[in-house]
Amino acid sequence: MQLDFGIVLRAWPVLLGGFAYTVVLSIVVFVTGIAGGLAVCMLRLNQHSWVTAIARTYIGLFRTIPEMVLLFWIYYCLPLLAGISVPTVATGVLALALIASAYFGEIFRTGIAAVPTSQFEAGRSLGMHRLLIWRKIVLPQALPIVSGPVVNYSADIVKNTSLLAAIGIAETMYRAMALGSKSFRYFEFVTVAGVLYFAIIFPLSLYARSRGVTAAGRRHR
Amino acid sequence: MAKMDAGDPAAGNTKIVPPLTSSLISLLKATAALSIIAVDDIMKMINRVNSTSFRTIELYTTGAAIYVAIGLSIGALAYLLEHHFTPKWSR
Repeated sequence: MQLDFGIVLRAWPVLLGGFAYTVVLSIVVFVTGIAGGLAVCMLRLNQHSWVTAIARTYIGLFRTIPEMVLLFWIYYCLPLLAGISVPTVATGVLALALIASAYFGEIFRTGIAAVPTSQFEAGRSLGMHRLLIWRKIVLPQALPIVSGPVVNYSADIVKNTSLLAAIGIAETMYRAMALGSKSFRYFEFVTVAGVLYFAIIFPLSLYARSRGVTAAGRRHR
Repeated sequence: MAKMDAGDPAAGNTKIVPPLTSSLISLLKATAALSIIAVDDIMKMINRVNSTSFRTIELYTTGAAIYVAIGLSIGALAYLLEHHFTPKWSR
């Protein structure tokens, strides 16, 4: 078998464009996921049990449903149900963001739950306003706990964006496959695509590991 | 199987159940991606039937429900397993 990585070099701008698209998609999913996760977390920590039940159902459902299935479901069914044409990128980002919101919501909840209730009580006994307690006492303690798992799941987001190739979004994986099918040099293109993904994901998982996240995605500190 | 006694170091086994469960569910989710390389799993079959019948919403909703049912069953089994291995004194 003869390898010719020169062909990758010649197609480099196309591949790099796909890589840039992967990064942009990951950032968009991350930002919407964080926003959605905050909303889910707020609902989950709500006083009313029926609101909590909705948040629990959301988290349970969207953490269980495979990314691929939700991706296809939204891609095919949303335009039919809504009766409008939705851009492919929007369906892809929506699917990944819905799942990311469930994961981030649960990460935020566990982070806040790790702050002892006595901390809230201490703040209240000092006559602090609820918002002030959150801003000065709870969040400064919850954020370091949460940072590892958040970065860990961000690595998963980058991985998940490669699934968007299945619905024809021209990110790294899609372009690697397209270039491969054109030249029959799948080996070279897919290998380089793998290396590109590794280049983003490995630093993220190193950080997550330094924050105490194990390979199984659990904190051990 | 006998329940673990208090003080039994093997009672620590219960700690591996939750991460193992989430790994198993991740694995289940990952199998859905195999449909892309034409492995005839649920997802691929649904794609195939859809391409001839066009009952898109019914098919994909059922497919999603199947995965959720399997995933939640794994979760429920893991809960029972964890409960089984947790010594009485720490319940």
